Amino acid sequence: MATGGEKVEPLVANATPTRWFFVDMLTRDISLQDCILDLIDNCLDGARRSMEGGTAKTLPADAYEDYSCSVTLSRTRFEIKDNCGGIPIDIAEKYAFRFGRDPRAPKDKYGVGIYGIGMKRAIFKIGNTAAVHSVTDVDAFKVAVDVTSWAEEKGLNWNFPIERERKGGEPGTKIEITDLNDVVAKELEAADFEIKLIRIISRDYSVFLQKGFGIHVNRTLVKPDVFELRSGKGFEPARIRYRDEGVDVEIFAGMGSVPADDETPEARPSRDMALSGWYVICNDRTVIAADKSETTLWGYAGVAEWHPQYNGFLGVVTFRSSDPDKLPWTTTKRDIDVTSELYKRALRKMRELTKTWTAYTNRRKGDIPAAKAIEKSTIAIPLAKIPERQTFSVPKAKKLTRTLANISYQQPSAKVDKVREALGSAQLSNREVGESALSNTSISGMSHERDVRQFVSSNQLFSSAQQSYRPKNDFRLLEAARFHSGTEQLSLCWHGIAMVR
Amino acid sequence: MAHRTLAIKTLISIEADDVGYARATFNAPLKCITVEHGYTTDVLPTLNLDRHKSIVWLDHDTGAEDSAFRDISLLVENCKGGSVVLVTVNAEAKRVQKLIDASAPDKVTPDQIREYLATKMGDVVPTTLVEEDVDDDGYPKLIRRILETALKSALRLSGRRLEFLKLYDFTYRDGPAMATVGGLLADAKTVAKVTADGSIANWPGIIAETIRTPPLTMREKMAFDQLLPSSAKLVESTFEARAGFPLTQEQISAYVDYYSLYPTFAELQL
Repeated sequence: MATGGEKVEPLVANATPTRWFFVDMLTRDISLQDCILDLIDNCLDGARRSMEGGTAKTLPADAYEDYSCSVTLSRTRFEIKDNCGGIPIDIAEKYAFRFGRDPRAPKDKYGVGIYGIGMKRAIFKIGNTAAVHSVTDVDAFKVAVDVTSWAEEKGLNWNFPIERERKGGEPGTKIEITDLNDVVAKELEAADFEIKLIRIISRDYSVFLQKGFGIHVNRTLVKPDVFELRSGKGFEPARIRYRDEGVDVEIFAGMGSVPADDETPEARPSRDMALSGWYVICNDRTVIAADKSETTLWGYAGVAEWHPQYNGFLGVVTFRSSDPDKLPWTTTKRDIDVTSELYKRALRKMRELTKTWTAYTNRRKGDIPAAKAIEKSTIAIPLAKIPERQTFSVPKAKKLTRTLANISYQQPSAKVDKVREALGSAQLSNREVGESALSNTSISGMSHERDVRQFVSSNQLFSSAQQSYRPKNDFRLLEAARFHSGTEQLSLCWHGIAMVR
Repeated sequence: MAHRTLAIKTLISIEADDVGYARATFNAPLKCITVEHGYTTDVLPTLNLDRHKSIVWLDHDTGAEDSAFRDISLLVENCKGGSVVLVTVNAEAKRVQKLIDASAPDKVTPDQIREYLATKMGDVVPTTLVEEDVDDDGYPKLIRRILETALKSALRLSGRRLEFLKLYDFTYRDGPAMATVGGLLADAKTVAKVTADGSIANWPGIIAETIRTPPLTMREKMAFDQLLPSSAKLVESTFEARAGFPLTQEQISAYVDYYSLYPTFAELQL
């Protein structure tokens, strides 16, 4: 307690940020891959700033044609270089290198780099030494960063020195990072990291790439994934548009691909399966892709949990705003701020579209061959060409005219693969392999040697290396098949299927 | 040979096929050879690969996309540092084309092959394939690239502080093309030691061209051997003069390159 007239300093708790917080902590919340995407986002904003009419709501189909960036990955060095206008020196001085965005900083209309953290965080994540070079129409500069010495420095001077450079070459920015962090070096050297990065860029920058923006990864020019929904024969995808508190929202949903046959968790993976789910796109940048989680209401609010049965569903919701702050993304741009009211309102509509599909996949179980025939005769339409439609329509279920029974059993996958190979197509689903065991072309149901002989001699495929039969577990018939096929190598395998080894 | 030349005392052979297992057991020439019955995927985890440095060669006759790919993770996750692992797979382009479309294998496109491989193996498959990647010569090279990526990727994902030093990378063809990739799993220090003197550059296990050794009879082999080693290039006429019949220059060169490694089998009546 203070007594008399003594002046007492008030107690305070030190809340000054440490530099290591930015170097060690912020970098933990983002993957290396997403850091690289953050840097690509900066290139895209630069391109929009540079192009004529770049602040417009809609850009022409080839708006980005003159702009590109290239990413170089190796064990010793990371580089990203673009021709997207460079950073004006006054922006560099005041804003570009600040941690967090200054509210006074000019905002990029319809931009994708919004939190003022991407470039710094990427540098810290990747390595210890970085050089940012920028060339604009009027000047050029370099900012060199030595992360450890900067982080060790005491005092409140957080600045990075800017060195002016001689102006030359196309306006653009180049970030070069060396002295890579150990784990990062291993990743950047790996061929599969590069392949995955290319795959993710194809998917998540699809809109930009389709509008002509060029992204090279180690000299490979990335091609965009094109999203399509199927239409016809009772299938009509939804395309709902509305404006919500200054944000243009558009929701697409429909059948992206013909559903796979196998609905079990062990089902053979397919590209369609990997692509199914919801996509959320903010200002043309994909934030979440092929989502099958609660974030897009799977397993929540009356929607069933994701199940392979729902493969084939594709939903895309796009949010577009001249003020990127209004969009529901997190700082990593890899997740949705699910507390966003804007997003919640979109979810209500998304939920109904999802339920249309889940109900349809339940009904189609009644007669899968008939459903498949209809699904396969639909045609794929790119998102941009889909007409506006408030609902997602699916064919009405037909009344079954046959009584069907479900048969389900398990076999080691290696054996199923062997039968698949014997049947002549690696594309066959487990269901089709199973069906072949009961198909009309097998020896199933034959009870006389005569039938077997006839079948064996008439079946051209029998002469190929491997072929499957089902002679009713009857060794006598197996012997007959051996005799008539002229091979002793026919043997009984699982469930009465005979195979030539 | 592994026992006699390298003095390896524990030899394990894995056979899935019932008959193959019985025959391998019957034919095992040494007591120190154990034959395990089952699929590699099931047997490998039971072998305590983490206890001893091993040489593990998974010599599959199937493609890379099947159990070979699944086994790669098992190998790099479990083998003790200092082990050498090799994977051999069938890399015949026609095999995969037939698998994709048995009725029209010739019409299968590079994209279809990519799709098929990527579905089974994911991001170890390059994002774009062109005709040269999937023709008879290109496909084994593509598979070798994929195997190498798969080995390195699995090792990285295992979180082990080991590196993969590639020691084997070649295609062998005396029937269908067989692709082999392998190397040493070891810590950075050991890898640095192995590579320090630069002699690794002369290591013969990494071969760009396909190894095609001509099938020869014992007498033909002896005729060849009497002309070798030779500082001058062994040409068609020299061989023909010795043997009385011609072989192509390609066959001759192939034999000259690998004559010291050419397997010799003899039939004996006991």
